[in-house]
Parts: sequence; C-alpha cells; structure tokens
Amino acid sequence: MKVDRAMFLALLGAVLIVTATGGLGHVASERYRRRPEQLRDVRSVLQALETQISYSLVPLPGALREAGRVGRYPIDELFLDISRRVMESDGTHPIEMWKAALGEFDGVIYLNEEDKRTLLTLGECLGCSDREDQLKHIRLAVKRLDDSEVLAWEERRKNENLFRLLGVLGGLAVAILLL
Amino acid sequence: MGSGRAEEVRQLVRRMLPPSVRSLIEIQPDSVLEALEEVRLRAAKPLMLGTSHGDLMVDDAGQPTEVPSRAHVVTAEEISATLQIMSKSSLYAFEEEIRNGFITVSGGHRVGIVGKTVLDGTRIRTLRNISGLCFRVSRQLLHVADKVMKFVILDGQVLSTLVVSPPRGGKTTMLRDMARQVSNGLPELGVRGAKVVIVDERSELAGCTDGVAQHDVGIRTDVLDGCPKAAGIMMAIRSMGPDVIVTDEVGRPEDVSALREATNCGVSVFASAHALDIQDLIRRPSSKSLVEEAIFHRIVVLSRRRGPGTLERVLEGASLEPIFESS
Repeated sequence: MKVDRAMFLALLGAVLIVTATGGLGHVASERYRRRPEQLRDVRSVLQALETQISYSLVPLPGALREAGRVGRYPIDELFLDISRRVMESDGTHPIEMWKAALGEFDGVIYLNEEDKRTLLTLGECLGCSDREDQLKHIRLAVKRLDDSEVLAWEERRKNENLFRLLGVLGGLAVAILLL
Repeated sequence: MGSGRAEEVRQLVRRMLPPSVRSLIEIQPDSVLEALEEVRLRAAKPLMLGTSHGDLMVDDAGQPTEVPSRAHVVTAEEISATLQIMSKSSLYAFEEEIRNGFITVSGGHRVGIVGKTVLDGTRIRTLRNISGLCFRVSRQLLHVADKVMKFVILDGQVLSTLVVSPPRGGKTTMLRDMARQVSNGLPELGVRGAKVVIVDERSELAGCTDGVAQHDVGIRTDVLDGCPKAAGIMMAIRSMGPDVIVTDEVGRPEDVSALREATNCGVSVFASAHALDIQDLIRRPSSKSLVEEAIFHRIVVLSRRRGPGTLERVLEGASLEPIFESS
C-alpha cells in the first residue's frame, strides 16, 4: 500500500514535469509557427494599402484602418492602432508612431527585428511623397516581407516540431533521472 | 471680428502647426492676431508673421524682435511636421494641389508651398525638399461688397463685373461677398436671389474642404471646386443654368473665350484680375481683350491704400467712364 502511494506520487511528478517542459517547448515553437502567418497578414494588409493609396487616394489614417481589416488578429489591431496614432498626430515623427504601435503588441506579434525594421522604414516614408513614390516604397516592403516569409515557412517546418519534441523529451529525461 | 477673429486664428494655428511654432504664435496679443494675414515658414530662416502693418519676427520666447539673428529660426523638421499635420500624413492625396503649389486647408485658408520641383517633361510632377510654406489666413468679411452692389445691379439685373486690384488687395474677399449678396437676394435693389455658380479653380473663393464650402457664399450658390476656369465655366452653363458665374483671376486666352461665351449666353460674370489699375490691365496682352471686347459692364478697382479692399473707383465697362471715384 505504501509502495503504491510513493509510486503514484513519483508518476504524478513525472507527468507534471513532462507537461511543463512540453509546454515550454510549445511556447518556444509558437514563435516559429506564428511568424510566417503574421508576415503573410502584414503583406496582404500592405497590398490592400497600396490599392487604398493609389486608386482611392484615401488619406493615410483611413487607408491604414481599411487595409488593416484584411489582416487577422493581431495584425488588424496593429494597423488600427497605427491609424489612430497617425490621425491624432501632432507632427510626431512617423517612425516614433510606428515604433510605439509595434511596442504595444510586443507579446503577441512574433515578427523579428528585421521584419520590424522593414515596417519602420516603410512607416517613415508613408504619406510623405506622391503616389508613385508611395507605391515604390510599399512594393519594396512587400518584396522584403515576401522573402522573409519564404524563409519563415522553412524555419517553421524545421523548428516547430523540433522544439515541441525537445520539450517533451527533455521532460521525460529529467523525470527518468529523478525516478 | 474683434477677439473672435484672434481666437479663430489661434484655432487655425493650433490645428495646423507643430507645437514648437504654434506656441510662439498662440501667445501673441489679440491685436497682432487680428491683423495677421500670413505666417511664413522658410527652412533655416526666421519665422515671419505677416500682418497688415508689416512683417513681424519673434524670438524663441515669442517676444517681437527686429534682429533676425535673435528670431526663432524655422527648422526643416518643423516644416515637414507642418506638412504632415496639414496633409493628415497623406501628401499623396494632395498631389494635384502640390503640383499647383498650394493646399487649401479647412476653414478656406490657403497654404502656398515651394521646394525643389520635379519635372515630367515640361510638366511639374511634384515638389520635393519642401523648403517654404506660406499660410494665408483667409478672412471672410461679410458686407465688404455693400458699397459696390448698387453699381453692379441695374434695374434688378446683375451686371458682369471685373474686380481689379494689385495682389492682396482684397479681390477674392470682394468677389465672395458679391456672390453671397446676389445669391441671397437684394430686395432693395430688385434682385430676388440669383442662381450662382462659383468656378473655384484655386479653392479660395468658397474655400471648400472635402467638397463643403467653408465660407458663406450664399443660399443659391453651387461650387465647382478645383475646376479649371475655362472648362468649369462651360460646364456650369451646360449643367447648372446659372444667372451669375463667379471666378477668380482670369487672364489666360481660354478664360477670356469662356467668359465671352458665358456673356453671350446671357449669363452674368463676376471675375477678378491682378493689375495695379485699369491702364496696367490694358497694357497686358493677356487681359487686354477683357477690356477691349467690353465683356464686362462694370470694372471695380480696389487698392490697399486704406487697408486691403479700399474701393478706388468703379468704371463703366465699355466706355471706361468712371461711375464712382473715391475721394
């Protein structure tokens, strides 16, 4: 009876450990899983923005808001936030507005530094030149994000399962050692 | 008027200028703001406030100064921040306006823009490196045309009238009030209210933003905003059946033929032209035919002698005989 109880507790501990490390692995893999999806969302938003700017000549706050709808959470919210900042702008440098907006979504947006830099570079020129020039900047950003996205899918394929597996296996190893 | 106008200027400044420039203008006394006609921002040059008493420079604390080196110097950042606010961060939406060198902002105020022009063949494609902005504070002065109306209307008929003055002489303000008065009707002169179309190529007469006239231009007035004058005049005749067409600063040959067409159709025209006086007008080949062909029945000459909009004289259009002379 006593032995059974000790055994039960040990097993319970092992399960807890494996669950915890498995969870960690999941969290680590999340970055790889989400990034390409978010990149794809940003890209479609920018393509919608291109239409808003070049054909409809909608002023930037409205254009960002409308284009943002194309994306899913959190990308839609990100563009809505930027749109609000631009609307209320008091002559703040555009780059500051984009930085602040990206900062707001720090925990839920999995873009890496390079992706963010592409967005900031674009944000800096948005609204500051004529239509033709705007299109060039948007297309350049889309191209860059496109390239990143291809690599991001590749990374996802390689790393998504790897990290999950590492989590579970690592947990098992620890549990066995402790047993 | 009075401090209401100063308050209006403060609001304009608050809405349109970045904090560093705004704070300097906001604290000016009412007397300065009431006389304010323009605010000029030139990169790396002193901030200049143009009032009806002359230019005014202010130092970094907003105090008036005569010494340029002590004055607040406008930075390139201040100019780009102003552009950003003015265009709602959407310069691309103002491409056409920038090509023409100015943007009309809400309230009907006009902002002139200079910079490096980018050409596309011989056509101006856009301006970049924008280095100077000039806010012209537009003022609607109701009743400035009161003194003129009795010369412009004869037996209840609205006569075609050309308003002539040097730059900043009050032509636009005068035209706007004339349009408002005939549109609303002048029972004492036998005008029951005329259908008016304003062909507002530079968005200055009605001061439209998003298609809505910011100035009071009368209850029977339609506005063709941003429309080239010659095309607009023809369009107005065809589509709106106007009694009076109002347009600003005519002079190009195509304007003259459109005006001729309008008067031949029995439509009266109110228009304005840049010129010091009537002799100056006749000297110029572009505007000569306006007078020689007697397209207008009345010519109103304004000056800045006693402030903008001083009525100098009114002439009969064909004979150029004075009907009214100011003392």
